[in-house]
Amino acid sequence: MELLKFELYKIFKQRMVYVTFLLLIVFSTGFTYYPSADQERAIYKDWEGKVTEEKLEVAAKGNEELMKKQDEMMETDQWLSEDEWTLMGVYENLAYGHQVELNAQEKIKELAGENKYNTELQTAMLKEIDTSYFAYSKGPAEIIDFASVFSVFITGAMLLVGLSSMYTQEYSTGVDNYILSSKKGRGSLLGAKIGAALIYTAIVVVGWEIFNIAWNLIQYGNSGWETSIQYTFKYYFSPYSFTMLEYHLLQLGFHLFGACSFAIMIVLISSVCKNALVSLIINGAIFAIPYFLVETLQLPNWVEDIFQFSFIYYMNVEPFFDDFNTINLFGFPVLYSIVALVVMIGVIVVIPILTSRVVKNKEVTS
Amino acid sequence: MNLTVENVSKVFDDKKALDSLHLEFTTGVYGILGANGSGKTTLMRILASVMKPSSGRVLLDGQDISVLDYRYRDVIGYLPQHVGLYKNFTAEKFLLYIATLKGLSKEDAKAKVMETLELVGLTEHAKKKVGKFSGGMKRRVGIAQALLNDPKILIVDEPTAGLDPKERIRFRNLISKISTNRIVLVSTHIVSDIEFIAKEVLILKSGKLIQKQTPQSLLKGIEEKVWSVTVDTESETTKFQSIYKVGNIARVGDKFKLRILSDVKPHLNAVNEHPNLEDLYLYYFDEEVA
Repeated sequence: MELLKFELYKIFKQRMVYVTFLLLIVFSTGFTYYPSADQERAIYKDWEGKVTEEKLEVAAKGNEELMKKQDEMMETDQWLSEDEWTLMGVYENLAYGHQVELNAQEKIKELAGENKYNTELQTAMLKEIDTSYFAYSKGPAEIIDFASVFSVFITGAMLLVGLSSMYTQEYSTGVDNYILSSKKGRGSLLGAKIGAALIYTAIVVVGWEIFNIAWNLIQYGNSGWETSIQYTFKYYFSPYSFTMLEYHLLQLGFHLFGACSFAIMIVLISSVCKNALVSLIINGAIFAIPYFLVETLQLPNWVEDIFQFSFIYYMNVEPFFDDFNTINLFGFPVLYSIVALVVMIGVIVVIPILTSRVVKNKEVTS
Repeated sequence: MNLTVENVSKVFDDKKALDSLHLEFTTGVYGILGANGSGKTTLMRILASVMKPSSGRVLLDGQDISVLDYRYRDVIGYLPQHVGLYKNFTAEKFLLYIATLKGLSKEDAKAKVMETLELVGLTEHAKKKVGKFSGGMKRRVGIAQALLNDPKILIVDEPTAGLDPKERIRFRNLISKISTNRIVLVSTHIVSDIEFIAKEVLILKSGKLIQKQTPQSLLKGIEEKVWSVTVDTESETTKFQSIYKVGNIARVGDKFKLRILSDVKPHLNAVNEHPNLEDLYLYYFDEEVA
C-alpha cells in the first residue's frame, strides 16, 4: 500500500500531467458555446414521450406545411423563423427514429431467407430495437460523442504523458540501482506501479467525464437519456437496443477497460526502454499508428477489422456498436464487442506477466 | 555468515570484465582496490544482485543468491558509484520510499529514516529537496539509504569519489562505526579510503584477482621494494620517472626527494622505506596515486 502511494505521488508530481489535461480540455470545447438550447428544449417538450402513429402523421403534415411555407418565402428572399426550423428538426427526428424501426423490420424480412451462422443472432437483435420513445436528447448525444471522440485523445495523451516514464525515470535517475537491489524492487514494486497506473487512468477518465457531463448538460440539459442510441446519427445502423444512458455507461466501461490495458502496455514498454522519450515515442506509435493506417490507407476490410481491436479504436468504443459485426467461432456468432473484451482481458493478463519477467531479469548496465 | 564468489566471470560483448573470480568474505571490512576498468564495479553490481554473472555464481552461506532472490536482497545494502536520487523529493521522503522498497513497515521506516539521517549528519536537512544538495550531501543520502534495512552485507562502490577530504574522513569513520557484525565491501581506487579500516585488501586487475591479503601481509610483500632517492635536478627526476614507478615527489630545499617502487635498488644512495598502501597500489597499477 505504501509503495502504491509513492508511485501515485511520483505520477502526480509531474507538472506536465496538469498542463496537458487543462490544454486538452480547453481544446475539446472547440472554443464554442451553444446558448439557445432552452428554446429548442421547449419546442421538443410538446413532442416528448411515446411515438404514436397519430404523432407521426401530424409531424409529417406539419413538415409538409413548413416546407411549403419555406418555398413561398424564398421567393421574397425570406426565411423561416428559428423556432420553425427547430420544429422542422423535431419532425425530421421523429421520422428518422421511425425509419430506424422500418429499416429493422425490412432487414428482418431479408434475413428470413438467409441461413448464415449469424442470421439468428442478428434477427433477434433487430427485433429488440425500440425507437418508440422520443425526447430532446442533444445533451446525452453530445456526451456520447465526446466520450468516443475527444476522450480518446485526452486519455491517450494523458496516459502517454503520465506513464511513459514510469520505469525509465528509475533508469535515468540511477534509482534503479536501489530498486533492483531491494527486497521488493523486482516484485511488489511492479504491482504498485501497475496499481498506480490504473488509478491514474481511472482518475483521468473520471476527470474528463465530469467535464463532459458538466459542459454538455449546462448547454443542452439533461433530458433524453431514455431515447434509443439510434437517434444519434452514428448509431443509425446499430443493432443494439440501448438507451443513451445504458450505452453511455457501457461506453465508459469499455473506454476505461481499454485505457487500463493501454496503461499496462505503457508500463511494459517503459520497463524495456532506456529513456522516457523513446518510451513516449514507442507508446505513441502503438496508440496512434492503427488510426493513421486506417484513416489514410485503403486497407483490405479484414485488416481494418483487425485494427478495430487496437487500443485507440477500443477506447473509441463506437466501432463495436455502430453496426452488426461478428466473428465465426466454430459456427457460433461472437459479436465484435465480446471479441474486443476478450482481447483486452488477454492484454491485461499477459502484459503484466511479460513485465514481471523483464523486471526480474533486469540488469543495471549504464 | 559467509559470502562466496564462485568462479564468476562477466563478459560484455567481447570484453571480459571479470575472469573466473573466486572469493570468500566473512564478517569484516574488505577493500577492493583496482584501477578504472579493473572490474570493481562489475563485481560490486553482481554482489548487489543488480547484474548477473555470465558464468559462475554467488553463494550466501552456501545458497545461490539467485535462488535466495528477495531473501538475499533483504540482507544487503548497496551504494552504487553514482548516487541516484529523485530531485524533487525531500531527503526524508526519498529515504522513506527506499525503506518501503526494502520492506520496512511504515512505523519502522520512519524511525529508521530518522536514525540514518542522524548517522550521516543530515537531520537538519531532512525536509529539503535532494536536488538542492551538494555532491557530498547526496552521497550521504546514498549511504543512508544503504543502511536503512540494517544490512548484513554492505556493498559500497567508490564511496568517496567526488567528496572533499573532510567528507572522506567522515565516511571512513562511519564505515568503521557500522562495520561490526557485517560484511562490508568497499570498492575504491582511493587507497586512503580503506588503509586503516580494511580487514583484507583485494586487488583486481583486468577482471582478475591478483592479491587478497591483510594490509600488513600485502605491505610485507613489497617491504624491500620501496625506496627514497634524493636528486638535485628536475631532469634527474624525469630520468627516474622514465625508468621506475615514481610515487611522491617532494621538494626538500633545492633538491627533490622521490619515492620509488622497484624490485632492485634504483640508486647507490637509495634508502629503503616502510611501504604503505599507496605504494602497494602504485606497485600493481602503473598509474598516478590518487
